[in-house]
Amino acid sequence: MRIEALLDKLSEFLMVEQCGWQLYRVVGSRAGDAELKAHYMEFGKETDRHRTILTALIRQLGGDADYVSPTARVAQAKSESLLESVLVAGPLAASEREASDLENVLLAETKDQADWELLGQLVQQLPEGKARSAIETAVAEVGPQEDEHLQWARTKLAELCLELVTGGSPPEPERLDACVIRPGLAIEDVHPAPIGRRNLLDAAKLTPWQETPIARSSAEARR
Amino acid sequence: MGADAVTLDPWRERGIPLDEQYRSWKQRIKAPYDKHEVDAYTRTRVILMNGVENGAWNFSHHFSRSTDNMEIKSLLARTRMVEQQQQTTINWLNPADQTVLETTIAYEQVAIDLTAYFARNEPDPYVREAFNFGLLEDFDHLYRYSELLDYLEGKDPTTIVQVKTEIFPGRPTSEHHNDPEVRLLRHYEKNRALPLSKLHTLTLLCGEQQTYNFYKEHGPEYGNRRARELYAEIGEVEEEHVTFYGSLLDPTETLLQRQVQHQLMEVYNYQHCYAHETDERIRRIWDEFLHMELEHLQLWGQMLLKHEGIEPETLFGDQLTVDFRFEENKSYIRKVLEQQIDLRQQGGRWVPKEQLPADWPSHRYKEIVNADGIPSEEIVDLQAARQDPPERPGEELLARAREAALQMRA
Repeated sequence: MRIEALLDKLSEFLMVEQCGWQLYRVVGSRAGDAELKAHYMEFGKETDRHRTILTALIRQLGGDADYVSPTARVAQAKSESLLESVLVAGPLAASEREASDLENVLLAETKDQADWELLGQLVQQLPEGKARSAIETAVAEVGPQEDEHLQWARTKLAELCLELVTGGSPPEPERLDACVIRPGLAIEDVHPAPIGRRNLLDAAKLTPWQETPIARSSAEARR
Repeated sequence: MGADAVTLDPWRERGIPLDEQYRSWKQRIKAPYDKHEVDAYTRTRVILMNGVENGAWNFSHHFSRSTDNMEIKSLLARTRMVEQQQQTTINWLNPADQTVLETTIAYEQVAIDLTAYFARNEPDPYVREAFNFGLLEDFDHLYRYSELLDYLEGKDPTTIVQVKTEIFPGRPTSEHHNDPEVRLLRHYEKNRALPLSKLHTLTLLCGEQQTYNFYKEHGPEYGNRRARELYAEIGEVEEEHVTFYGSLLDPTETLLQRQVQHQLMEVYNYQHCYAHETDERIRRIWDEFLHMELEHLQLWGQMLLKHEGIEPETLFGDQLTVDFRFEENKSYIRKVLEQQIDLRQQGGRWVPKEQLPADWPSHRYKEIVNADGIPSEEIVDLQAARQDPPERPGEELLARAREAALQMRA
């Protein structure tokens, strides 16, 4: 076994737990739904415990828990991007925002669960000894919890999204106000004395692009 | 399109290879223009392109500090070094005998004729009205600084703007001071907005940022209290304009997309400078820099394709039509002035001032900043109190503008 490679990976997994814990703290503090809030609090505590377990495991294997491996840095950047998505979530309705937070949890837990599954596979390949036993003990405690976190996030998100689409009231149209996303905004809605076509030059009469970049970049659209 | 609009294929037009773009000290520093001979719009082009280069340089640093991808960082460092060399060449065209205040008059001329043309050419009506709103404010700044120029240096501002831009009060500067949140607009939507709207917005943003920097850097160089205060007051409005135009940008544009947009905006602006420059010596500079920027644009377009999997043409169009030119916009500005002088901003929209609610946040802000005197009004009072009769045609024009400013106040 290449212990340096394992320690680099464990540093990455620890970072994923750290960022997961941050994510649970943030989404837990703003969740409006009681069930979501309760789960975020509970899973946040468990994720906190996973940090402790990984820290101890790294030390048991002779590593430094304060070391941040290159892949841990990338994992941190990816995880923090999930948190940063709030920076562009202005136009979301409250229900959409709640679903977006849960989707971030699902994405984070997918990676987290995969990390622990990988450790479980590693145990099968390691010879008997201190390292195998330490990893095995950690996986035995954390693995089932990670499975539960992921399963819950997946099921609950589907439930929330189905409800958004099929039931309840539609999202408030005002949410579009944060962003001009409709082609041909009725300027009269926001301006009492708009400048009319007289005095304008030709380019001012162009209509906004009607097709999206997806359509523009597809081979069919190009033809 | 205008009769002399030019259409380029910016993704394929041949540029100057990047490793042939560095210049020696002697090549970089050119002789300045003669302030008595220069065409007003040559001077505005110099001021605009200095702002455009500073904007690109500033963003490149911001981008570089946000990535540790060495391929991206290296290209940023290399293209940024060229940008700063270009900026030196351009800004050093301003002559030493042109005073800060004379240059300031030209800065406001840039703001007015750039914003007015963009508004006339802007396809998105919301963005257009944002430009119109800012236009009337810069229009008033030109008048206030013109009073200061007459007061401090006894010079006629029309010799600088060369009668191409009117000097007359707009929406009074004393009314430009807003609670910062009031200035925030809706942003355009990056998938729907036409490239032209993005280019207009980014160009104006760089121009306003440069104007802010210039006023804040040079305002304290004056010993005269009136000048120091007026630069501080209008400098703060420029900060509001940077917030205002900056809020039009879609925040979901990635750093790489924004970098390509900066490069395309530079190509756009060098193209019109090259097409309309009347000074052959300076025109050669625009030509050279246009071809440097074409190379930058294509390199960054390739980087966008490599790292985000999207052809830049998909985001910004196959072709670039450049229609802009510095030209007179007097009748347009008069029309906007007539229709919109009394509008104010509220919650990303515009309302007549008499319909503002009592708790409009800017009421309170204005009370604070205007509490013990308004420099932009005091300069008018000082000038109005002068007893000496007008001696030059320019003084008569300014006296007429002053009369209008005093009437507006009443």
